[in-house]
Amino acid sequence: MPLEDQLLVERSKKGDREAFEHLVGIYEQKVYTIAYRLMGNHADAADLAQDAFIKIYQALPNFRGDSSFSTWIYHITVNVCRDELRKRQRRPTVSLDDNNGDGNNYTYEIRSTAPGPEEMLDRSETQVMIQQCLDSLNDDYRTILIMREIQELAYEEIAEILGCSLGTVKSRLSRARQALKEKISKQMEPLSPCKRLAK
Amino acid sequence: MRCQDVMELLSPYLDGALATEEREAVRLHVARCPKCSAELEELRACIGMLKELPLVAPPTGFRVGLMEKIDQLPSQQASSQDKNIFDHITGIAKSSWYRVVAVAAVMAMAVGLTSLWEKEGMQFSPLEQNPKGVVAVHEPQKATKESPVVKAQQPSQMGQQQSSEPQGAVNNKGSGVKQPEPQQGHATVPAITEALKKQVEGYVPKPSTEMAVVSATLRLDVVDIEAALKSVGSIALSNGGTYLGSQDSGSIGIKVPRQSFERVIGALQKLGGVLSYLPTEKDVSAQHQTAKAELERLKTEQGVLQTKLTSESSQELERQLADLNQALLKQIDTMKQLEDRTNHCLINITLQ
Repeated sequence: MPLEDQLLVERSKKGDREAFEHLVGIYEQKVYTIAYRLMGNHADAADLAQDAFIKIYQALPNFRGDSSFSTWIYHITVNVCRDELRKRQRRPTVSLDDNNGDGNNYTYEIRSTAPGPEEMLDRSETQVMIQQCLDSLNDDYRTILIMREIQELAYEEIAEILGCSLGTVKSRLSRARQALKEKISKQMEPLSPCKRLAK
Repeated sequence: MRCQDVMELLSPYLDGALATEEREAVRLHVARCPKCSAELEELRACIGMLKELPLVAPPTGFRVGLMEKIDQLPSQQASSQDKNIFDHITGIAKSSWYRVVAVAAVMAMAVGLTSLWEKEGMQFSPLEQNPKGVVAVHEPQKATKESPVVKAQQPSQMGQQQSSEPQGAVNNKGSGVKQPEPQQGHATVPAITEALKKQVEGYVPKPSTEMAVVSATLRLDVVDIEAALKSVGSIALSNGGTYLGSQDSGSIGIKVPRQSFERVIGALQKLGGVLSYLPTEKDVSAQHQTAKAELERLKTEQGVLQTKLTSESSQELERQLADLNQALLKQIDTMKQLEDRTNHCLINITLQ
């Protein structure tokens, strides 16, 4: 861990708010990017990146430095997002706030794969397409792709975080990449013959 | 080794995660099997595209909002008992973030959408990307804390409706922290002006020296047009480029980063016999210099109006300031597009 990070972590552990804010400043882009790539929209990314930092802040006294600080916080970020994705799998996600007539109000959420206006503004055509392809993958595939290609974690680290074997990491990653390739090819097909990556 | 076996090993092969013997077997197979070789390249291109996705900057106010949440956390010992309060605060924040970001985006789109198309008919998105590849998301943070969302869309009515409940407050609402009372009367600069001002101040024009727009037209004689078009696609994508569209079956426009231009041209020329190659370079330094001067003029005018507003209350002045800020944002968009054109090259390829 860089000396600067180490000092900031030590000061943060002692309740130094300024030091923690400094740490947030160093890591917020990476944490936000991971959340954004996993969730596919800015609204969720902002919420979950904040939730991740709050968890990091609360867990800091227990951080012993067994892994690097960056690995530790990215691990927490991925877990926060995975928890949210699991929650959404367990509940309906079809409409807005709704009164179903039985006196109970249920809050549902929409998870649209279409980019919102803010997404359209700040991303290039290819990036929009890649993010849409990522969004359309199942959560397991998307997560492992982000861990490997964006977080650049080793197979061993991914296995540890996901709690699975190296063989599972290898095969799941292979299937996820294949799935992504097919999605990208499909996205390109209607636009131009040359955009096909694979027939 | 059969193709099916090799396909399953391509992913770990790309990661260097195969044992020596397996790696060698895959390498030898790929070297003589066009199908598996193409599959490997496609997979490599996909991974490359994913790796090249830029970092995404959190919205303005992200850190401030986070630190406010942290300040409102109960002590570590009491945290489990007060979990409901924490959930409550988090829940409120969640519902507000989306509105805040959405309003900012709609405002920005209204300003920038009309200038998306340049004269030559090529499209450039108003992408703000700093040299580190970080995409910024702007959010009118000031407006969210001090004025209702609806006011941000109606600058001319600001100062008249300030008694309504601020809907955009993310962190204070529901947390027991009292909202500051909105001020009435003069010296109230519209919140939208503050938000837009932030965007104006956040933009730093590039130096106007040696700014050139590079493009090229390339005509190639190829054996298989379909296969060559596919290769053009792979070359563009693997060099961080994008497609601009296909005018007919044998023609395509691509946009690639300036630093990849020579490499891309070199790779394209290998696809077939070069019938013609016409690179062009247009110096836009003077154009940029003029745009920069106009930006400075607008900023000066903005300063004068703001000074006037602090000493006298006038809806007319507020309207003028709002119009001026819109003009400033348009000017910035124009400059960003010009700068983007110097960062990228357009290549039109015709295959026959």
